Amino acid sequence: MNRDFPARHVINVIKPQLVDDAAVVSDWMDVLNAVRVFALINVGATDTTVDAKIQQATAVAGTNAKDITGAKITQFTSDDDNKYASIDLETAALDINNGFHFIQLSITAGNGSTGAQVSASIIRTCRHMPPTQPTAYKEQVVVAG
Amino acid sequence: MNRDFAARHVITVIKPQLLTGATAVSGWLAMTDAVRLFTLINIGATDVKVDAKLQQATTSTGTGAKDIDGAALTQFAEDEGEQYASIDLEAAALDINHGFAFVQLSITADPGPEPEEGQPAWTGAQVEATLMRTCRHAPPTQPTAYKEKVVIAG
Repeated sequence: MNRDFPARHVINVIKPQLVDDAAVVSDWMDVLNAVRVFALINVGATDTTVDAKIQQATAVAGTNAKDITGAKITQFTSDDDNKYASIDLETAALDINNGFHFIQLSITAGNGSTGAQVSASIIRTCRHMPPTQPTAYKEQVVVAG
Repeated sequence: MNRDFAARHVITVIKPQLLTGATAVSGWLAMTDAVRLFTLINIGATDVKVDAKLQQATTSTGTGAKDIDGAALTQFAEDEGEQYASIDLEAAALDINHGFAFVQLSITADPGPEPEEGQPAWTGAQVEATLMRTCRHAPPTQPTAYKEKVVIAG
């Protein structure tokens, strides 16, 4: 059997929610033990724009937060309902030499009538396994063949 | 550079939505080119119970649909909002010998009994899911709803 997925990846989320004229963010996540980060941004019904990007910082509190060149999606328009997009980031692209080894995904909804249903999964592929998962990760069911 | 994630996985979703007394499904996904399927079920605010499971079928329309032993989550209780869980399925666990090569994720929000008289109706559960099939042959073709893949190399 291959290793199961959570044995090789740390998995975080942005919870599914309706957002209007506001931004929602993931926690700041340490990527020292990660070779890459895959963020999937999932948009349901929307009547406004949706943007998403990954930023980097030097501490878990978001110290010195700044953008990562290219690490953002093309804006979803108000008629881009029920679509999704991803940002796949090699951690070597971070400004590691200056201590930037924390990342955060943010999703920003424009000002609509109702807003946008959004959510995200953020998957860090680990160097050292198995990783410790966040406490909100309630259960891992593995069905082997 | 390692292959980017979407070059090795077909990615499908259940859209984020508010669900009450209903079931949301992924659609039937072919597993013929997949070695495993990882499904992440993500629950936001909820005041109802939530269940999720994978089923298998012999065609893309769900012919002969039946459960897969063990491929179900422990039920989320009404107070277990803002948590998530996963089902990680090896394709070899399917009943391939009888042609079961399609899987579907379903998420059901169960409101249970009606609120007591004078109490507000249940709001429901904010749910979504991500399904990733790890492919034998890469790169795979992605669904059309997959709007954009941004890749940042180091």
